[in-house]
Amino acid sequence: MKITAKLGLSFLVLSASLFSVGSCSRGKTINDQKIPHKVISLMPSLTEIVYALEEEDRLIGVSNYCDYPPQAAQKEHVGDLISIDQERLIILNPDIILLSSPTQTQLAQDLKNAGFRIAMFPDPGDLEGVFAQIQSLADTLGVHQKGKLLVDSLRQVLSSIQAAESLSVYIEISNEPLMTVGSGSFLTDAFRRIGLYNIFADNPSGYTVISPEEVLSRSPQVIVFLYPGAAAAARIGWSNLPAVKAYLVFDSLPLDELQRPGPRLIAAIAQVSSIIHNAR
Amino acid sequence: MRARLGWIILPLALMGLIAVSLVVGASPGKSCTWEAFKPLLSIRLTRILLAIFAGGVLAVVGAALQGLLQNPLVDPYIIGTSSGAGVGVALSVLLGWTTALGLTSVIGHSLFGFAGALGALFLVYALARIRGRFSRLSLILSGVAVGFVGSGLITVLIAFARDQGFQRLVYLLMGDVSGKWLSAPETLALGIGGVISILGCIWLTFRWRSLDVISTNIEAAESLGVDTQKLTVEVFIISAVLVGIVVSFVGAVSFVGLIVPHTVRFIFGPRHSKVLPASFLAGAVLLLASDLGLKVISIYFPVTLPLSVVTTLVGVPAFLYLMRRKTT
Repeated sequence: MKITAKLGLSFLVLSASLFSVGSCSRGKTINDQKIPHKVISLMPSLTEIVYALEEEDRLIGVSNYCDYPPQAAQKEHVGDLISIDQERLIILNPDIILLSSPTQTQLAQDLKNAGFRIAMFPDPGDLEGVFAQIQSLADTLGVHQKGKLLVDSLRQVLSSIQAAESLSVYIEISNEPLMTVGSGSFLTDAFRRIGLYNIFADNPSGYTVISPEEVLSRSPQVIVFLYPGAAAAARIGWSNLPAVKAYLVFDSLPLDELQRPGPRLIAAIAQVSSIIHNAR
Repeated sequence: MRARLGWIILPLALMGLIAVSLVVGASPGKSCTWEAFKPLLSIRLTRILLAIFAGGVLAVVGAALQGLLQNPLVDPYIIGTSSGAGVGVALSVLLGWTTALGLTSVIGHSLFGFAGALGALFLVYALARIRGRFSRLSLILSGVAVGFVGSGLITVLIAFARDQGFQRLVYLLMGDVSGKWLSAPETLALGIGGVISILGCIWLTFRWRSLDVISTNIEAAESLGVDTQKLTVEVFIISAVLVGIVVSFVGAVSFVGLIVPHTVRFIFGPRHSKVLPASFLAGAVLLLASDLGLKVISIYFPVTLPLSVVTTLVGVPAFLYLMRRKTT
């Protein structure tokens, strides 16, 4: 009984301390117009844009997935895309944290509440969105002109790509479950620029789960697999698809380049265009 | 002798772990001065208190339920509330309710989690009540049934949502005491949860005499003046609420509530007056040690692991060692 009473007392002390801890606010007075010098990027595509703008010296921390360019992986890692190591963030004390919505909307709310300055970049829905994102990030870093130059050079590469005769394409981004992209994804627009029309463009969402039968009934002329470990193995009923008959099934395209809406995307599209041209 | 040693070792281990956890952080060497250490203090203290609170409460609830139901395989999750809390958290993460309402994750997840836990509690209560009476068997079975429905619902939600929220959900459901950004409302929520849990643990501890009787012989319990009906309902409701609170804040950390009470019984004997308080201490020690392990891992590898993985990997060898020493 004595022990119980003693422990009861220590329980109470513990709970009282729960009250008193943590309310210390990390709120800083930040002038929003101030150009940030210490930047943390929590999205691989945003990290790539910072490097393409040659502003990597300001980058003091990245996510565990930021692996391009290779030097980016040498920066301090502060967490994955949705859970962050608080202590590292506080020690690094960034001026701004770059995030992407909708993936990181919740994280952004938490960080904002904790007093950090954040910049949100919505996942682009088309190539214009990719360019706008690059420009907007350049503006955030206070290097408008550098951003303009980068976007102009990317536009130049894009316009030099020759669009092939139009073909229908099935873009698979996962096989379990079977997933593809709709018109809400920048990939649909990117492939359209090289004459490949997404068979699921009528679906307005970005990513969407589909059934194998839908793929068959839309009989694509080209099939691309955009995920690691994909193999264009024979699947039931596929042998009659135009893409399979014409050997236009691609499972080793540049993945990161195509999946990240960053500066490498445009060159990757050009590469895809020439690969598919050569195959025909 | 062994028990007396335990009463010395457990508090010492807890204090030692608290001290080490205060010093060890994600970035070694960068917090040597007080100025650098100060902003980290509240984060580390929050994390330590959460680990103590979750580990202690889960272990106490596990011990009480094992005693009440006379079943060594019972853990706090068998009464179904944890999966109710899981459904609540899954709804708020996968359907983006927390985000949509503009809430921070601590507030949103714990709010929806606790609502889910209460829902499951009422469901189990209603299902287990047959002709106005509760049998302990119907309680276990209803809890298990509601638990399965809950995990089924979580799978359905995952199937519908399919995005990056899934990964976050796994951490949330498998235990995570880190990454809690606290400002005033979150601190208040955690404080209220903490106080209710501690009061619940004390309440359970004061039922030690009845639990002693009922866990040895239920027939004798009635004749010894224990109202088994009342005790069953009381322990069930308190346990369910406590588990709901813990799971809402830190997720369903596995293993603590199952094995810690057994380990404690090896050392302190079967009396609940000793088992319950000692379980609190041992549960807190295990979870704090596991979280410390996570911190050390994160210094060297850029990975995030759920707490359950470490509690199991740290706890199982210790448990097996004690079990073999006891039985030989």
